[in-house]
Amino acid sequence: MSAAVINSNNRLSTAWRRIPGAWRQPLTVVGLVLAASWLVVALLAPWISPQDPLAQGPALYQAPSAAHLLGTDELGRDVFSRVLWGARISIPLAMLLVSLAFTIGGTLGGLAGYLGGWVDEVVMRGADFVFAVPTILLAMAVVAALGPGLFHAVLAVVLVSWPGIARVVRGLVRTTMESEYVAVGRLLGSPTHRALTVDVLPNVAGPVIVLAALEIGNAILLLSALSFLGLGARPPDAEWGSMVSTGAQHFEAWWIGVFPGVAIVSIVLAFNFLGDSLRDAFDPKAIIKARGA
Amino acid sequence: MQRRTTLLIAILSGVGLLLGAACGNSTSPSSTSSAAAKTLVVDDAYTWDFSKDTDPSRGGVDFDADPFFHAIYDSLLTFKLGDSATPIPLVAESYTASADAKTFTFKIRKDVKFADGTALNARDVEFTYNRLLNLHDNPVYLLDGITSMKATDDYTFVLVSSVANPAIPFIVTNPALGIINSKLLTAHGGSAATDAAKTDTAHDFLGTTSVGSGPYTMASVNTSQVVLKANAKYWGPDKPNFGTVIFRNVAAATQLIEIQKASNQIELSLSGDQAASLKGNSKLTVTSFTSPNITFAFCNQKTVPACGNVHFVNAIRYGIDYQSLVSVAGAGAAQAPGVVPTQFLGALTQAQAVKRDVAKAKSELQASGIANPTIQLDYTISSTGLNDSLAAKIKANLADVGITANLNGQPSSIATPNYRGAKYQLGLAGWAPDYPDPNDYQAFLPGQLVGKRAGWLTGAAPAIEDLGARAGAAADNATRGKLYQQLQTLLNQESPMLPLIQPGQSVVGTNNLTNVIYSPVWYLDLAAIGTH
Amino acid sequence: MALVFLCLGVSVMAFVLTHIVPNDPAVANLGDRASSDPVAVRLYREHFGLDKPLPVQYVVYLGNLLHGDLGESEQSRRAVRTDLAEYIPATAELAITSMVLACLLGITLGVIAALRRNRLTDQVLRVVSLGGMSTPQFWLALVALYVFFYQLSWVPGSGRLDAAVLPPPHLTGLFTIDSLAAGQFDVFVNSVQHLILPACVLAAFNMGLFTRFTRSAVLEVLENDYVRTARAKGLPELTVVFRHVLRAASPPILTVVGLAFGNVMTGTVLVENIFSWPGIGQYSYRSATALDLPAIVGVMLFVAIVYILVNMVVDILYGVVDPRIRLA
Repeated sequence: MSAAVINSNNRLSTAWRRIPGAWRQPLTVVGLVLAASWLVVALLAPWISPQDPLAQGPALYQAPSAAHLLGTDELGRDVFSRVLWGARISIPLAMLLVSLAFTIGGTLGGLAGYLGGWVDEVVMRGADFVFAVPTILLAMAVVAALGPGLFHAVLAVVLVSWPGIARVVRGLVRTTMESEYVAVGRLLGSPTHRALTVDVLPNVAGPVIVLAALEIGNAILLLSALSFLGLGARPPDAEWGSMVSTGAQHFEAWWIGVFPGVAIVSIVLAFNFLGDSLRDAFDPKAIIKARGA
Repeated sequence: MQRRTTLLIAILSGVGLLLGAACGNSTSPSSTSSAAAKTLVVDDAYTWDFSKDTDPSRGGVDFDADPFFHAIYDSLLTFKLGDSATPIPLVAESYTASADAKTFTFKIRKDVKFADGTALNARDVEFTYNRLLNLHDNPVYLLDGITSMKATDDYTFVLVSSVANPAIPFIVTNPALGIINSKLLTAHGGSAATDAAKTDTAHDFLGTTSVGSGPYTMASVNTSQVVLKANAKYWGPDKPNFGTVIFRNVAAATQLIEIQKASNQIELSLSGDQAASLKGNSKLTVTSFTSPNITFAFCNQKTVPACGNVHFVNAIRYGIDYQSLVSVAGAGAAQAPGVVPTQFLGALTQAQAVKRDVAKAKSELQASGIANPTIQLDYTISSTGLNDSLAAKIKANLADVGITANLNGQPSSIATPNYRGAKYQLGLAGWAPDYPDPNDYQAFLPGQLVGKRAGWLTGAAPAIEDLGARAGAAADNATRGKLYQQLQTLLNQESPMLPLIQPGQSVVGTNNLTNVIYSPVWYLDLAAIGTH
Repeated sequence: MALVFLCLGVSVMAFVLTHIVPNDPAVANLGDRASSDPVAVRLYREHFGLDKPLPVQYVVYLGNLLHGDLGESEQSRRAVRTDLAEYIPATAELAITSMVLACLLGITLGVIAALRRNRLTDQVLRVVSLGGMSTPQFWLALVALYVFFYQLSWVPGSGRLDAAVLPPPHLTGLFTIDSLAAGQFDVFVNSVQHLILPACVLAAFNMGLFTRFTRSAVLEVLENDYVRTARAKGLPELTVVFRHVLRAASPPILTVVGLAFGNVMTGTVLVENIFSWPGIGQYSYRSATALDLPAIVGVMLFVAIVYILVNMVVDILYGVVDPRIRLA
């Protein structure tokens, strides 16, 4: 009996212990450094950007130069400053979005997995339903109905991204609940909350962290796509997706659209590097089911 | 197992084939020499679905369909290429107006044939006008004030207006009033009866068959393109030069790069800046000019009581830096000196336009007694991003005066009903001419279409309303011109209407084309376009 | 059953969404002057049944749905069914091509990455595949159009065919197939040239996704004893990979491929808008931004049905690749 309990702790710790191994991956380090630098940029943008991102200068469509590292746009604004300030919009919003989605998806998925029965049925049918409706279509309809704006875009993306998380959490909770050591613990009369906090939570937390890293990348992509379509951020806000959209109108001044795109790629790549390496450390199967939708 | 590998190999070689084909020579086969086989491509960036625009009596006027309606349907009168000041005969060989400008008699030509060979007569004209009236769809306002429209014999058509309306010869040039083959359309669900709005079912038929007498015929229509074929039996002297004309719905950004690879192609949606970037390309002809559309702002008294305070409106009026707006509106852009565009009768000159005067604006703001005003600047997000740029400029301009403007750009689905429902605060909107005559701009007066959207109701400015009524009914052009100028001078002093700019507009064509000339009503005269 | 549930859910949701907006579609969709004309507004509302109370509108809609009638689009003034029939083949051609590309490349690269685990090849493939998953499709589409069309002229620009090329006689609506069936080889080449760039852009994300999942699925299988046995028996590596490893690894890969159809739909909205591709993506964008209710519901239903069908096919394929599942 005590062997089972010890065994469970071992299982836990092996997963967690594999994390340091992930740091030996060079790409993990690259991801971490990139993500950290973007966080710093987001925090310090007002102090490190050379110009006010909204200030309209006299020099329109200037190619990159010493005065304007990434050139100027159609209103004479400094593209470099706007790209830096863009981090202040995309990163916090993506984090807000992911935490909202995880709170909703995690709670519902956890309840479904733990309680089972009709709760499980209702939550999972709801998730199936959202899965069957294309993400962007639902998001577009929500934004079209509520009006464009970053906050509405965030709501729309939360609405479509919770089911993925709910599925994973439910799956993880169920697997843990069905495992021998929880069953044994129950037999021995250990209280439910103890099973939850000691057995279920640690086993679920690892994969969920990985999922969160990957979801932040996806959230940034989807938010910028909505802004590109004119449904998220609104000019004159310096948001990357809408900057690419402006750039698309001015092919001849390629720098207006190219650099915000590079910014999106680099930050999403950073989170994907992190998430991918961490996933290797945990059980990859658990996460398979959530991704892709 | 064996089977599966073979399948895999088959798929792989299929992909190889695709890649090989894609990397091959991609010259377009459009360079055939025979005139009948030549294809002209015209690109426009539509926000609407082409399929909607099959019926001129429903889809005309508002939806950019005019160039192909104009090519398919002949109207009573038309304009010479490049002109919009003097209506000239087309289906009507002549017309007379009564001295009070209320009764217009059109003599119909006897040699006009529809695309199916049927001869056109005054009954077709009567059918067309009645159908437009009774469908009661978008273009119905063209017939506002008309009390009678009758064919008095086979070749005479008479329009009677309840009020003097010297603009009628201009109005009847509109492609929405292109004459329809009444026999053919009636046989396919068309109706001009009073219940036509509910009984007419010709919409889909009009997308596949031509029922006009114009130089081109409708071949097919779908969401992304309209295909026109030359009308082999065209009755007029100038036969169409291209066998096929294709109107495509292409985003402006894509147009910009496609035109540089094309021949026999015209792009209509490039912004002034985009067009300017093509100026150095020797294979293209770039025409930039001042658009007859005006972009204006208005201060809505219904949502913002301060807009009733003339000093406050003047603070905005003199606070806006019109030249800075012109600078972002593309090559050819100009300040709009009044609501009537500079191309039309009765327009003000640039010298008479409002000039920025920050000191005056500040003193006006002080005189208004409103401290630290904040106002929302509402507008529609435009596909070219122009409204965003203008709004950003206005916000910066007004900040200099001490007025805070919060930008609220919305997509058309949300902004348009707000604008039309008079829910804007400080609104930014546009007006495209329905017909090239100052009477179209009566809409900006109190209690009229745009006036009401600014909460500017009938009785709000009796002097302006009186002057407007006199200008609208005056019969001779010299008097009308003078009255409209007086009217606009007054509007620029006392109204909540703030004319801003006439944006730059561009037509870019490959330089083997001739007669690519812009018209304020139907954009392009497709039948006139030829090749060197 | 699932389908009925879905139809109800999608239509209720769309009805609710489009009615959150206080705006009158008549005022939004009519012309500038007609929108202020009470008669024109009344006629518009009567035509689209908007004059009836919302529950009545919904019941009428469901009634029509039973007959397969999806209503009339407020945007195109045509039956939504007609619209869908016209746009679906364009999107199908694009989506299927991109999925085939993504599967072939993704699975191949995934297997290679797994076999070369933690070596340089694996690292390079990791960067490539994660790069594909990290690049915004709208940006990739623009860059690709600029480079391959504008700068290099390797491919033609937007649309499904050059303007001067007439579509082949309608058979399936897929131009590549129709042109071959009609023996128009030049049209086939032209349609492939137009297809290749948007399809590649659309495939980038899923290619990366499939590479990652194939890699982990294959890695897991490689640890199994029977693989070691097969190798020990001296079977050629390719045989081991195809006969034992890929087969055992395919259920999770299939799951991801099934789910990835959702990504394709998201991608088509962006890619079709940039490449002026006349498909469902453009149609749904226009319908959603104009709050064209019948069209939105029509598209949602169509995509949901495709999603269900694809996942049914995936379930059937499970049985084919894994006898244990078939037994269960």
